[in-house]
Amino acid sequence: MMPDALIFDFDGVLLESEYEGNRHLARLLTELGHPTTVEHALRHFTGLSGNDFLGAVERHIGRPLPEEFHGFRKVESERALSEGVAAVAGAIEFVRALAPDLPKAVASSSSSHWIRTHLDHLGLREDFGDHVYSGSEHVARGKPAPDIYLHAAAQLGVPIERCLIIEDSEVGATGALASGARVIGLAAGRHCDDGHDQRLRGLGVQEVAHSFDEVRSLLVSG
Amino acid sequence: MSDSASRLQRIHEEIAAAARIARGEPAEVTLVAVSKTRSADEIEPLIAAGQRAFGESRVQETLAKWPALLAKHADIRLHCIGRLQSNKAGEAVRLFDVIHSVDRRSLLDALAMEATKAGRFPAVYVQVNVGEEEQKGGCALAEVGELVEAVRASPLPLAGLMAIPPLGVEPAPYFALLAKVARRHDVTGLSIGMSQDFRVAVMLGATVVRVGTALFEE
Repeated sequence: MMPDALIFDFDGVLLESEYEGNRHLARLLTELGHPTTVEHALRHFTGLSGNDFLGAVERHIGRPLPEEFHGFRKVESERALSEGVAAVAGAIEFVRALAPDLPKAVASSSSSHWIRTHLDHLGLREDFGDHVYSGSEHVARGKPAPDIYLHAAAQLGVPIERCLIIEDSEVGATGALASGARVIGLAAGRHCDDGHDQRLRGLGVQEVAHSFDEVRSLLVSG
Repeated sequence: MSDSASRLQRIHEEIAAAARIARGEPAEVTLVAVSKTRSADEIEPLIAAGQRAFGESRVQETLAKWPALLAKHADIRLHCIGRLQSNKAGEAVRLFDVIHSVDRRSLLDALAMEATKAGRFPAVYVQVNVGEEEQKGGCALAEVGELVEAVRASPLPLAGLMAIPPLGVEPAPYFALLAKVARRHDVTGLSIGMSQDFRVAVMLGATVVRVGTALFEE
């Protein structure tokens, strides 16, 4: 059954930034003298932010992070904003094929500057209009709290139980389930390994898709 | 190995590491050794170590210093990296292989005219005042397209865009902005990054870095 509104997580759902970010992190740690594979970075650092993230990286390298680590991370963010990052396969076509009058929003932990700039690169800015919501700017509690989804639904003017949320991360899916919306777990990004779908199901996500084609099928049949 | 030669090697290694961090592969980056104010005695060890691109900012200093060095090493390429007055255009096209500081139409026209006279056509970078600072060389961001097209219509090859970001602030946003402007105008060369920030510049797409202090001083 088609929902009355769609709410998309951003990084790892529409944008391949989870994979690209971890690939950069692996290269940076390797150049700093701590050989690290992208697989290791994806498995151990995805979904972490702030001090949790820094602590996990420091445990991995066994020493405090050098000052230049932080500087180079900021430079990479500038580079990604300037050059853009690839879309998750099928994401652009999926969004463009949605009815123009179907309410849709992005609800993400990233800054609205990051989201809007990358929507520009992807050519999807107009599809979402003003409905771009950041867990660090628009609500007091970010994911895994459900607040950012509830905020997005309220702004769209659609009751949360008639919204569909598409999420890839465990942190995001936890909040999405708690919001009361229908949730599709998406394991389509390059950052998703073989166990990704099972980890989402383990949280209680009942519908899991491995591609946007599968999301479309779930919408038609679900 | 001389001190400056070992510093040269270390800078090449840092450029390579920056490219691997940003893109996972080596990048083609030309290191211009900024030799303005340096004596021939300071320059020669770098030439001996294989350095071939040197940056100068003043016509008179270049005329005094380089003819003797060029006589011994014909494959050196001299880059003009300082502000250039139109009345020095004739000397500039005869001395320099690359000019990084073309920031106005009148200078471009003077260089093009003198180049045609001399039969020597240095490649030029359009210098952009990327921080929109008063008193700073470079054309305004809004004028880049027009000046780039003027270079393309001139007999001088377009090498790319050059910029010096504002002092005392993070350079990365300015480098990223210049890279974006370059992509918008289908320009591939980017002359950005100096001693303090060449690694950041390489990460953001520099094809040329201009390094003096880190090369000549401890």
